[in-house]
Amino acid sequence: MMGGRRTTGSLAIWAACAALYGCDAELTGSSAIRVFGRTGVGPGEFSYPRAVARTDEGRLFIVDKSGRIQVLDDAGEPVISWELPESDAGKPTGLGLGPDGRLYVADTHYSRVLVYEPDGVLVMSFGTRGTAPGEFLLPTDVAVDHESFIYVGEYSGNDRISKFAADGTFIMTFDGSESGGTALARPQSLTWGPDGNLWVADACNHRICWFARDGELLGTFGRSGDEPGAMRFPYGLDWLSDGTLIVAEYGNNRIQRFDREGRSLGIWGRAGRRAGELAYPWAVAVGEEDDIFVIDSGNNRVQVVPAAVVRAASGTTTASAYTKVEP
Amino acid sequence: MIVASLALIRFEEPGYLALLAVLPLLVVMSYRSLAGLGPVRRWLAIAARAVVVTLMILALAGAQRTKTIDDLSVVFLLDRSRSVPEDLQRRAYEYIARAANELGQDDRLGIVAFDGAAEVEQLPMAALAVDAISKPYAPDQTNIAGAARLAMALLPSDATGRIVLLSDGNENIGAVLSEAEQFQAAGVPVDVLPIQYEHSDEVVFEALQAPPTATAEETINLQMVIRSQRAARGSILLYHNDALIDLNPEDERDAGYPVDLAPGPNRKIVPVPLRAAGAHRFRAEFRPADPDADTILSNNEGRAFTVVSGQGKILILATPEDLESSRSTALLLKRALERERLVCEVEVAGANPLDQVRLLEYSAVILDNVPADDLRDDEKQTLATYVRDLGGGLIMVGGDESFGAGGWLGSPVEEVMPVAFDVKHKKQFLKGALVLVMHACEVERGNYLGERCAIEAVKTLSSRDLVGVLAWKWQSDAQGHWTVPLQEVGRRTPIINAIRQMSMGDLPDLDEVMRPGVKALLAREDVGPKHMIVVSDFDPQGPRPDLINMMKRGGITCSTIAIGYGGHFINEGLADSIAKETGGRFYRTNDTSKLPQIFIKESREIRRSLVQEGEFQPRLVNPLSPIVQGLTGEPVPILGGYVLTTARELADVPLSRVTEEGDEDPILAHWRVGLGKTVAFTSGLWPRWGPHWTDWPKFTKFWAQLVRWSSRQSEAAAFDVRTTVHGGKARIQIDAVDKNASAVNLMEIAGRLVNPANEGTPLRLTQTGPGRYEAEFDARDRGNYIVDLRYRMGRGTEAVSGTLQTGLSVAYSPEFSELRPNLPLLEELRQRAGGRMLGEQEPAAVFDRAGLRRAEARRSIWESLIYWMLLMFLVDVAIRRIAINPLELYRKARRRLGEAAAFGKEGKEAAAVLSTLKDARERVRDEQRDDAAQPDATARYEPRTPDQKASEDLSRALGGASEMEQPVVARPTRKKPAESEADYTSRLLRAKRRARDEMTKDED
Repeated sequence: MMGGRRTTGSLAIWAACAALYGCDAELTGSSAIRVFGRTGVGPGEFSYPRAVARTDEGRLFIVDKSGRIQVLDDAGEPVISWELPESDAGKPTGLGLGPDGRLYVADTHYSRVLVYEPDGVLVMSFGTRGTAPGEFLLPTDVAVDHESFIYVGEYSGNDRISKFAADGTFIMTFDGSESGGTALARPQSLTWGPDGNLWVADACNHRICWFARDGELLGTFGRSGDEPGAMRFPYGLDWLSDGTLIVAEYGNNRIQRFDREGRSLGIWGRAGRRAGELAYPWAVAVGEEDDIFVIDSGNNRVQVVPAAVVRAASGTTTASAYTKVEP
Repeated sequence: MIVASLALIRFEEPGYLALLAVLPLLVVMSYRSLAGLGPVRRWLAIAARAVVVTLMILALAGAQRTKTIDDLSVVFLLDRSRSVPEDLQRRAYEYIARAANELGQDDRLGIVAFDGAAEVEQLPMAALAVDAISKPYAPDQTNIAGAARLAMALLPSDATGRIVLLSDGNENIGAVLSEAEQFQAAGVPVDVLPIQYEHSDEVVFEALQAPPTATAEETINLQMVIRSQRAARGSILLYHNDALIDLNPEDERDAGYPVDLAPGPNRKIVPVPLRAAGAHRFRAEFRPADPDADTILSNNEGRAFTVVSGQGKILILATPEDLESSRSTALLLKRALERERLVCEVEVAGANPLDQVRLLEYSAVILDNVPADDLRDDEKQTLATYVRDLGGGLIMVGGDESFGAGGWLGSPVEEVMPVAFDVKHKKQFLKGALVLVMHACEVERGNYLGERCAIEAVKTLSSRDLVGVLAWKWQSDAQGHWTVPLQEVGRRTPIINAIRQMSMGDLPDLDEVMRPGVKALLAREDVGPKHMIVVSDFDPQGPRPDLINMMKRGGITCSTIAIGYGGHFINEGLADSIAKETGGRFYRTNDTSKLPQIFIKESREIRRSLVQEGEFQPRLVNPLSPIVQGLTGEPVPILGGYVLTTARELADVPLSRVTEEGDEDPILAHWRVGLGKTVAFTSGLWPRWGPHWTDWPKFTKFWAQLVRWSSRQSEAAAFDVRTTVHGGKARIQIDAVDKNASAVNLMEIAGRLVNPANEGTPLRLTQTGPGRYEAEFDARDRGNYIVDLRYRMGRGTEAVSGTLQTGLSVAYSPEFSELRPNLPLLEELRQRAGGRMLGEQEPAAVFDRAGLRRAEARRSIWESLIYWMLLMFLVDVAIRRIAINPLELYRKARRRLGEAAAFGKEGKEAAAVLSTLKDARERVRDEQRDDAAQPDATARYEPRTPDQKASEDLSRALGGASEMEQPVVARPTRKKPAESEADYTSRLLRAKRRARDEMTKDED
């Protein structure tokens, strides 16, 4: 009898506390979302992080507006960091990893690609400003295939993807219009799909496209909107181990999961500043056990959403945090 | 960690404690009244009651708990005024940093940096949190007193405090010494670490003195005072109205006057002839031959000016386009006025900065079709002040870039004009629509800047125009990206408030925010000009071709402003192409201070509809106006256009245009405002708007009358005026003599003072001696102080009145005249505030607690006392009303254990106890019979005595019969028992008889 009362009492106090302090506990506690990083320029701190790349060994490369690249482990512990050669004109918005383990940086405002060893030694840089084939205006992201061909997306009037050899020699450029499709508008993120094709977040067309390695547009899905299946400014892409696609929607402040036919499998996150909420998510990376590292740019942090939360489309997570959508 | 070494109770109103004297009385009274409770409960109840009353009295007395505290908060005051060299400021900060290394566990460190203003760099904290001192705010001043007051406010009340002053002691605002005792009284000593320096190689231009007033054709003597620390050589350059005077005619290459300065003050006198009326500005500069011989170069300058009375010149401001054209309106006006012997100067608006001293040269200013953005904000304010406080004349001549069409709406100039530039009353007015697309693009203070630009743009719109503001919102809401949905400007305030809430997000795509703006503009068919302004770094995705086509088809013009910072990449090509394709203009700037002007200029785009073109006959409404006198014989010539305005209620409108709707639009309006006069002529632009007007023979006379009416009048006054400035205080002294050289007494002399910030304040001179009038005012800021005075002497018909302009200049900050620290002031402060003189070597001393008065923290506890009082009150009631019976509890317990089994055995024992009790009862009954035998009319119910109760309870507990059926204590009775019994019997008999009667009736 007394035990029951105590339970009721503590429940009441818990409920009052929850009402007073918001319901973070539910989101952080029960669904076990991890958050690391905070505002600042120190180790493990971020100033508007915008791009992430993760190695299979569990190293996260993150670039932010402090003009440096930080290497962190999956727990968010800083390992090393290095400054970019120049950053006054603007900071990079895309990172890619090569099969050789090198880090490829889309140095957006300097119209070039920087190539680093994983320890921060700059090994190569290529690209000049311009609109001619092989030149860049504002490169967005870099993806490198298994044969070390380098694909660079760019925007601001030069919305296209250019293909280079490993030494930076220009090979070709494409934007989808050659294949009869709508031309790209800000290809913000480039990633390799399980099908071996190049998947592109075509941000200002609010859609996802995929291209063969020769530049042929193979398919697209998505439209502008905030209902499931639609998206606003998809900025970040990565794949779960089950072959489904995770999209970070900059404009809708959320993560959406799609199958390869473009069926929305679920939505997670909403605009806000608390745990489980996002502000301008620029990028995503999938880690061990399908943990999703979401670059929560406007909140200067990384949120690690466990696979359980996103993949459990059977409704075991709360409706507010995750919505299952029947295709 | 606050460590309480001793806990004490103090009282806010100790007088109430006297009420504690009632406690013994309470005890005595309670002892009597609670006699029936038995000794234990009685004393418990008395104790509870005493506690209740004591708590109440303590609460009334305002009890507080007091703790003495070991924490020490030290606030450092760091002087960052100009008199302290920067390297010494850094050293002072390093001293604080070293002191921070000595912070103990209970120590806190705060920093206030000060100059003329004091700023909190760090609140008292357990560590040093700032790595440098922020930039000076008002470095030309030093206000130690203000900084010390701020430090006092920062010290926590629950910690011991100390202020450490790091300064050279050269204060020029406030008087810290007069407040020093307060710090000591508050238990906060002020320790001082003097910042030591000595400028030994220094030349200070102490004063350039010019007579404040003079007459035309007079030669005045400029007196220079230059103080040098040691013998020095150099030359003096003298500028008259910005033109260099050649003081060294022998040397063609160098106009400087060579001087050899002796140690101490050096005086030089230079005669300067003055020709024209108005203000004559002088600037003298000492240039050392050896730059190393002078440490501070900022104090090598002197400024002064002299006002020559008489009809001043007329300044005509025009646009470069007008002056370059072969049919320039401004030059036409100039020629007309010169024919009437008025001296005119024509100038491109904005080419030479307008300031009050310069404007004193002119008795009137004409703005000839000048758009608002050609002048800076402070120049517009200067013009308004020139009219209102200094009695100048201002004439605005119309054209397609004047009045509301020129962006003047909402400016300080509009406030002084006889017409308002808005046209709320016009029904047929074609309104314009403006949409602003804002993107902060990471520019420093970008949000604030964006707000300011948008507000400036809204201010220049007519209340009937439409405005909308779009900025990327990261959290979508019902309004989409609209900060202000497209709507009528109306009262402006709600829109301005909404803009102040604007948050400009990181915009990914210009199309996303421009598209709703374009759609909203296209939806409005009742609107004339439709314009969009986009400010961005154009790094977001550009608008799609279909959107540009929509704009082109819908007649929406779009101007683009590309801004950035440092080397930030800006997509100029995109910005330029949007502007070109839609017929707008493209601007590129990294100078964010220019943005508001661009916005004002661009918002003009939609106010073109204020310009009304087409010939009309102006109507002469008021022939008595001084401006149109003598022009009334024939009709005024036809005009070809004008700008819509609204005449102010108090303005005189001699010429107007009556529209078909019956509105009277002002063409010529004038009024007096403050000390000056303004005229609005809403037409102009000859010959486009009035070829007949320029051919009119009375054109010249009309303009001469108009300009003469509005011009400031200034007469020569036979007064001796002196101005001095010293230690931030300026003094103006006037000696007035009449033509018989006798002092003029009881003169009224008052006017306005205009400071370098263009703020006008009233100034009144008081008589301090025969014919001498004086006034004093603050002159701490660098720049010109202008005094415009009206005087009146004599009485009745003999009265003479006039005006007088004078003033003085402060060439450099008083901070630059300090050559060494003011150690006596610092020593005096230390003594008065009970502090120590610190050395730079022992920073740990600042946290030394020796001799400090420990702080006390007090906390009111009356509320908790009230709670305890209520609780004790309940306890008191409970003690009196609830009797807890241990035996009863025991009985219940036994019953549970097995009542039946125990009964047989214990029943016998109970009977034995019972007989003992019966004896006791008999004994008591006998005693009570004795008591009852005594007559007692006031006898009342009394509780049973504990003995009785115990016997009853016991017998109940043991299962015996109660012996208490009859009352033990006699009740007062008025009737004798025998009578009662007889009465009872007779009632029974009556009832029996009645029952029998009824039974017989029933049988019948």
